[in-house]
Amino acid sequence: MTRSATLIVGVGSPHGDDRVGWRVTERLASLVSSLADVRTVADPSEILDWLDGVRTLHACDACHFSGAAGHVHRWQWPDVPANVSKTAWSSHGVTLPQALALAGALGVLPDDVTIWGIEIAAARTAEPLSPALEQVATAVAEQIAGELADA
Amino acid sequence: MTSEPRRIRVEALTRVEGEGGLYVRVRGDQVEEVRLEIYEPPRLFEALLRGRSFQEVPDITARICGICPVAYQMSTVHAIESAFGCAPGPEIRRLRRLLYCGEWIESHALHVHMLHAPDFLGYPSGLAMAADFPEEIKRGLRLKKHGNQLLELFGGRAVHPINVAVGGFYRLPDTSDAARLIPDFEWGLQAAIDATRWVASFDFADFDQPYEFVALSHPAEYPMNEGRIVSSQGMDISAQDFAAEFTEYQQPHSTALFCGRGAAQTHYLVGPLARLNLNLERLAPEALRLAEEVGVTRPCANPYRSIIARGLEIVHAYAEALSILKTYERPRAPRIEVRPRASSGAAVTEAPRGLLYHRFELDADGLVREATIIPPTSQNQAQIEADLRSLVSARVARPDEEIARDCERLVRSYDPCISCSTHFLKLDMVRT
Repeated sequence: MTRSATLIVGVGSPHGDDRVGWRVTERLASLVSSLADVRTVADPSEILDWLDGVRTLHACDACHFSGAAGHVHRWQWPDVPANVSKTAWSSHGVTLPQALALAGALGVLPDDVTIWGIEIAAARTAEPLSPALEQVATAVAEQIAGELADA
Repeated sequence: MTSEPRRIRVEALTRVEGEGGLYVRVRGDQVEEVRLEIYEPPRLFEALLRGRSFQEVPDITARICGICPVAYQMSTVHAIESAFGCAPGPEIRRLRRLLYCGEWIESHALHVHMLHAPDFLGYPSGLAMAADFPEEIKRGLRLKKHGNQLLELFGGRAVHPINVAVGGFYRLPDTSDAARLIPDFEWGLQAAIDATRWVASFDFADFDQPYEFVALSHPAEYPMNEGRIVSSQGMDISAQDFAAEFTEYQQPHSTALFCGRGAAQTHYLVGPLARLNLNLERLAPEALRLAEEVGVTRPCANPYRSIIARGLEIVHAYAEALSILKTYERPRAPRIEVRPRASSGAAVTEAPRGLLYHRFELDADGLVREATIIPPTSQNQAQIEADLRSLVSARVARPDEEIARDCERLVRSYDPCISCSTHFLKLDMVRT
């Protein structure tokens, strides 16, 4: 059970710039603690566990879609490019768009879902987040925090 | 008169892990060729293990698979402990089974609910099924989560655990942390029973096959980590004798090695259906009663019914996990001391998809000199192709699209993990 109507989820892994979604939520934790629940996940299907009572969801994830590293896509679900959500299911987990689609099919997805897709060049094992992506994570966190404060 | 052959191709199998396809060639009513084409690049884990310390090996082999890393860790530690002549005591043994229960639960729950059930209910995917069967899909996801929680607590994290050591574990959780899982697992046991009743009510096509089942067997328990390798045709050998009985061989259409039994290199079946047929009476009482209730009789040789076997194994895993969690007390020492010696050792454990063989040769410093890893999907490849041939022969008059769909469904019933199985690199060198 979440305690807020707003949930912010960072999706990622500890591998280099794939960590950027987590870093956004790490930055946000202190900024919006009274306004939203903030979580980090490696498996996007975990998002389904926390949607009870949520009306607004922000999901932040690294992506390799189009644009230079550091470019930020902002998609309002379900209006996402077709090839973002097209990956086939396997027994090894689901992607963020698949998890959101499943939540929608189960009738538990909030009406207001924003995906923040942050372009990365590569995700190298055991490397830290690159300085350029650190700045992008901070900028995205501040933008989300600002929007929540104004809401 | 020679007619043109029909060629049926499935370029990319869906709802299986990894990248593979199917190719079928039929001339008239004769099936000329059936190939399960595994084209995923080889991963060469056996080569990269050479020179690594025995302490690193469980964490490296866990990387072979995201859904069954515990199986790789378990076969690894048992093989290395066999080489070093050490045996952790009963406490560690129980906790290794507990970890394996977590893996069986998360792997089987996902396959049963999201990947396999849609085939029986007429949906192209779990996602498409969700609107009509929301409670079943939610149940599957919750069961999977329980498995992941067990891996997080005793394995250090849900995917690619890092807490398994040769000799035991690096650290073990507090008793209170383990106790906190009990209410969820009590719910899960009943939910797993409900799930098994649900899948047992599906319609199953008549497709019994003349399988040789191969699985571990242990006199006192449903097999996970220990036991002898037995078969429905009377084979009974130790893990150390695996290499003498089973032979890997290459086929040009697959980056995964095949594996045959005996001098004739015959195909055989590993996995839940084989385990169930060879070990039914060793299921936990809750699962055994349920098997009787849903009408499981031996031999159960219909591959589509593997979904029932997976359901029963989920029930077993919950029952055993609960029994261990309820009596868990943090051991005084998480592992025993291990002293390397120049030697070799082999082990077989039961991954969710079946028998997983590891063998290592190590030097006096505990560095790996040679490694052999034979995953269950490699072992099932030849059997899958034999099943496909039988299926196509029986349906040869049907339209190509229907045959292709039925073939894909059959392959999915094996829950193949193609990424695990690829480790063969065929090099054709042409010098001019």
